[in-house]
Amino acid sequence: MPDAAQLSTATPSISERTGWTLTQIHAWPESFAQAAGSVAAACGASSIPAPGQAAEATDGVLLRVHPQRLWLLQYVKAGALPDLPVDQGVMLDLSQSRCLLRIAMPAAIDLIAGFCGLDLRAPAFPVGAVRLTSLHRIPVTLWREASHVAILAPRSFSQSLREALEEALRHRG
Amino acid sequence: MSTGFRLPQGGLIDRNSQYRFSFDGRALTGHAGDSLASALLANGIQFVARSFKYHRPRGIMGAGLEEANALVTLGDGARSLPNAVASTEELHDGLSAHAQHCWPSLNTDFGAVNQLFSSLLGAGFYYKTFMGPGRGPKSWLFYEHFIRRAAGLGKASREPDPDQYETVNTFCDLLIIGSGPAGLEAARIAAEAGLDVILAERDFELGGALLADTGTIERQPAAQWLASQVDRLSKSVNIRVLKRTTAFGLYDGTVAGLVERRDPAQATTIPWRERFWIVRAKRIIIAAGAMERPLLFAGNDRPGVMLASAVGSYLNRWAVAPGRRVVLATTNDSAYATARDLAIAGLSVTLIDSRDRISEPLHRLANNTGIDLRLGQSVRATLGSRHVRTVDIGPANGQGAVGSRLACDIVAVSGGWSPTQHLLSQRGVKPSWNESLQAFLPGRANEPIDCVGSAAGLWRSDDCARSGRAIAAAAAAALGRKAPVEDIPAPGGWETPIRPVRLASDLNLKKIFVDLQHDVTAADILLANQEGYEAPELLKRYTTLGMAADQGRTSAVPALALLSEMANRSVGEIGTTTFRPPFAPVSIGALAGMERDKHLLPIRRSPLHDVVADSGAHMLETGLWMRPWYYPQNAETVDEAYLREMRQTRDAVGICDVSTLGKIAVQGPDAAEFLDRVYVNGFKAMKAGMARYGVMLREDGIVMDDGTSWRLSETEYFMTTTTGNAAKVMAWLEDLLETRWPELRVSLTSVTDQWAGISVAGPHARNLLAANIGELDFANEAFPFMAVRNGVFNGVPCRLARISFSGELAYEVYIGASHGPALWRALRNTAKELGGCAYGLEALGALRIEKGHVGGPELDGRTTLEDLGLGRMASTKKSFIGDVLRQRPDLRRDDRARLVGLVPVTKGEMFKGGAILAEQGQEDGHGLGWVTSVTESPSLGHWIGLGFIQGGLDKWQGKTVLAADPIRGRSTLVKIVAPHFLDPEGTRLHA
Repeated sequence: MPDAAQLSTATPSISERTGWTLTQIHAWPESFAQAAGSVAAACGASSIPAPGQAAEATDGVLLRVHPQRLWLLQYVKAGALPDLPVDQGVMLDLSQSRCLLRIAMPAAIDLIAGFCGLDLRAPAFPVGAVRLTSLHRIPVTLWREASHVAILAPRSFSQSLREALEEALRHRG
Repeated sequence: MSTGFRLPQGGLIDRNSQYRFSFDGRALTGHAGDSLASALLANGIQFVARSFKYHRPRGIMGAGLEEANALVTLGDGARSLPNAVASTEELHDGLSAHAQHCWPSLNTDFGAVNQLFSSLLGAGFYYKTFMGPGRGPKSWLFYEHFIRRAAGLGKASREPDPDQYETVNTFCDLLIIGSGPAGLEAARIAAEAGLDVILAERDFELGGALLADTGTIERQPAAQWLASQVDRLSKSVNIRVLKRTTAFGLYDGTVAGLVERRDPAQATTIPWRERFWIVRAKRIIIAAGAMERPLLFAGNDRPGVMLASAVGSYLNRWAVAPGRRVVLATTNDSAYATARDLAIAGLSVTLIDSRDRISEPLHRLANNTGIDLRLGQSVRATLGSRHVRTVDIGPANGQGAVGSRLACDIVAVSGGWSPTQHLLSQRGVKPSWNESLQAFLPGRANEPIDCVGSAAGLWRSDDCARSGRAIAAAAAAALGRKAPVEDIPAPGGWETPIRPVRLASDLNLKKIFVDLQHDVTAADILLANQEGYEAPELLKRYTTLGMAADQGRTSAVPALALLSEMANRSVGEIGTTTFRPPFAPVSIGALAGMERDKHLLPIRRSPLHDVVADSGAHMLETGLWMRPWYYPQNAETVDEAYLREMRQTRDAVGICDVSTLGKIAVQGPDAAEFLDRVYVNGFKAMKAGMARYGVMLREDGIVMDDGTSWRLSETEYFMTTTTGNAAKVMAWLEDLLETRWPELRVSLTSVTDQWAGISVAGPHARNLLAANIGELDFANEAFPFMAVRNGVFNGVPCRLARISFSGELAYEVYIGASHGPALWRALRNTAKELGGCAYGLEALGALRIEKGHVGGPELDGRTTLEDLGLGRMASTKKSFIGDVLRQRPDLRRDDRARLVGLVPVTKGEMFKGGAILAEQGQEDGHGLGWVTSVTESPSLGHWIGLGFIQGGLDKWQGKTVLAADPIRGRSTLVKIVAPHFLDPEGTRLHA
């Protein structure tokens, strides 16, 4: 991961990452391929991820959170994406709307299983899988990285979610 | 009376360990591997409980979940657990158990006086005694207190539970419930086929019935076969074995609820006490075995009367002989193995078989082991005080008199077996009655759930193992895996058929207990039948049969057999009841898991949470949000503080955290069209850079929510909603877009968390913002009412709109969430310099009442646009959601309750929200309307309120009505006025 990213570690396994930007790209069905293609090219993603999948981008990750929607998470301040004509889709800055938690594997799977009914077994949730679910009744987006599970949670819930996760971690000794 | 004792050898206990435990304060010892019941029996304790209704002495009758009598309270104080089943509770060092449902002690229980009135306490006692003509609510309310004190089994602690509980969600290909021969073989085959398997076993050891089986299975001694199976399981990488885990419920989509109890030996290393597993399996195999049924005879509830299989379990698994002289009464072959084992252990055994003939091997078994075998006989009654001492036996056909009386200290009974299919029944699968087996066999499920082994009516261990293999292979095939195919054995397996239960005609039905846990007797069932409660569901509710913690596990079939005899219909014709979760009691703690105390619900914090708290705000929970309620100065009360905040805002300036308002980005070429369809008023014509107040209706024409929408560009709007309705509105808009208008090119995104929002209100609002938001012209002409502008604060872009909830010159300013605290601090400092302050939720609400703005109390899901005085907002040039149904005649009536303002006739008086508006002298009934919002108005110097009254202002303006508040004992005369108390011309907000 880039050095510019700041990691503040509160417990051995749960950390909050700051210093990133999040851009939503919502394209209309008939123009999704074109819009997503230009976004993927601009951010250095090797491909347009399928729904529920992530693709690595230069200094970040491109998440397909909805059939028509991509989230570009960039860990360093990158250049602006090219304008998206409104007849192809719209973009929205969501950088302030979420907190980004990362939970180290392998504890992440057991920990998250305490909160949500997702199939987190390796074949169902491989590296690069993206899921929208609810943790402790909080709507979150999570995806599997090689050594972590990353969670984007609404900013207003971030403290509550983090406290719940950390307490659950303590329960597990 | 002390009867039980530990055999010198055998059993699956660790004799090298010694656990100290107590029962009712009496210090006792046991071994690792014991259950509480086996340890009690080994210490000679059989009498452990009092019955529910009559407080009759009760002893241990089972060795598993079928136990109906031996319910105890475990632990003390905050950790006490009522209704623990002694026969399933794993013994551990330091265990403390108490008898329950007795006072002052088990031996001297005052409740036992109920036995004297047993003839009065039959089926339907409460209905007949407390309900009906002349026994109205007053009589019930008088007795209810005493009845409730007497009712219930055990007492839960009132202290907070100090233990931790966990929730685990997991998935698997195959969930197998039960680890007897069928479950073990199913697990093995499934794992070998490559399936991801969970094997859940209620017991603390795997093996089920094999743990007490001294016979053979598949030509091997049962113990040896079991050991090799367990060894194989332990080496399999794709089986998760959950011991001490009870599957208590099956739900839609093959979701199973399981509760795992902590190994007591690991209490210091495992932090949780219980774990609630939510298992989502592709397929489920129920291998939960079968439960033996008791026999019906007078005194069949006496301590010392036990199920034959339980006696065998105590003997073989725990090396405990519950007594020395055993009378074993049976209707089937299964009890012969127990009789043999008891005889070999050196106990005196008399075997009473109700059948006239048995197979030659069983004859030989009895002869070879010295068993006193008596065919064609049955037990008629037991005698004894707190323990059985003798039994009377007579011809099994019930025609003859009692033939003989036998001395004994244990009566082991077997009335046949009931496959454990409660979990399948929970899924609505009806079982079918098999007359030859005298058992309900599982029906065919429409879901991928199968029963195997004894749960499917197979009585021989070999057949059980075979059925486990066959069904697991079929499950593997269904999931695309290969496994060796085998035939599924047919149900049954006894050489001589079971004899159906028949009661002798001379028995005292009041002493025959059908449901031991709820004290339902054969006389109760007879009475219920005579009174017309013939259907099992009605019988259950009238007599409470099968309604206790044991869910009628041992009582259902005997009761149906009795009903069948009385109604002269077959059991199959009568049918059985439907079982519902939970199969076994589940502690509330396990279900709650971590969701308690501060984790009961998540808390939402505004981006300004910390900075407003630093400003001295008292916070208030509103839904999930924590919001600043008021900002006390010099130890002000909430009333003092909010009135001061209102005054400062009206006189100077106030700032308020409004970040919690719902915020939705509406983007796309069709965004304007979309808003036109959801709001009653038009948004297409609104120019970019302007905002508009909008109201949206539900489809039924009732007002759903209100807020402002800001047009940021031709194709982008920033919609705000009320805090409370934010999630509902978002979901509603998404639903509309995805299901009604998929052709619209619109993107909806909740941006509530993206922005920190601050409302700035008051005559100095313009000055305050101008001092902090650079390069923006706040002049009236440049930034008129309802205009939207972009600004910059400390180099950070922000957006502002000139909108007012308070009636003052006011703005809302939004900035990226992380920059909110800095903006707040700057605005707060300037506000102080200008004589202003921060104001909280209380003042926010009061300011809007003065202005006559509707809020949550008025948007209560019952009011229309016209009710709220907003009818003129509705466009006649376009259609919108709710437009059609709001035209319903009933919603257009002139006499509907309409929004009005209220002021007390005597200025010093107050009134409260929730009061009923009525004409004087007519305050009974529903009245003419109600009060929704009130506040003291510092501007006007008296209390004011909003409310609804039939006919509204047109009918009532200037008239006086009573705000009747009988619950709080206050009634106030109020005058009906227009709802705009302050600056109705809007001079202040347009200033």
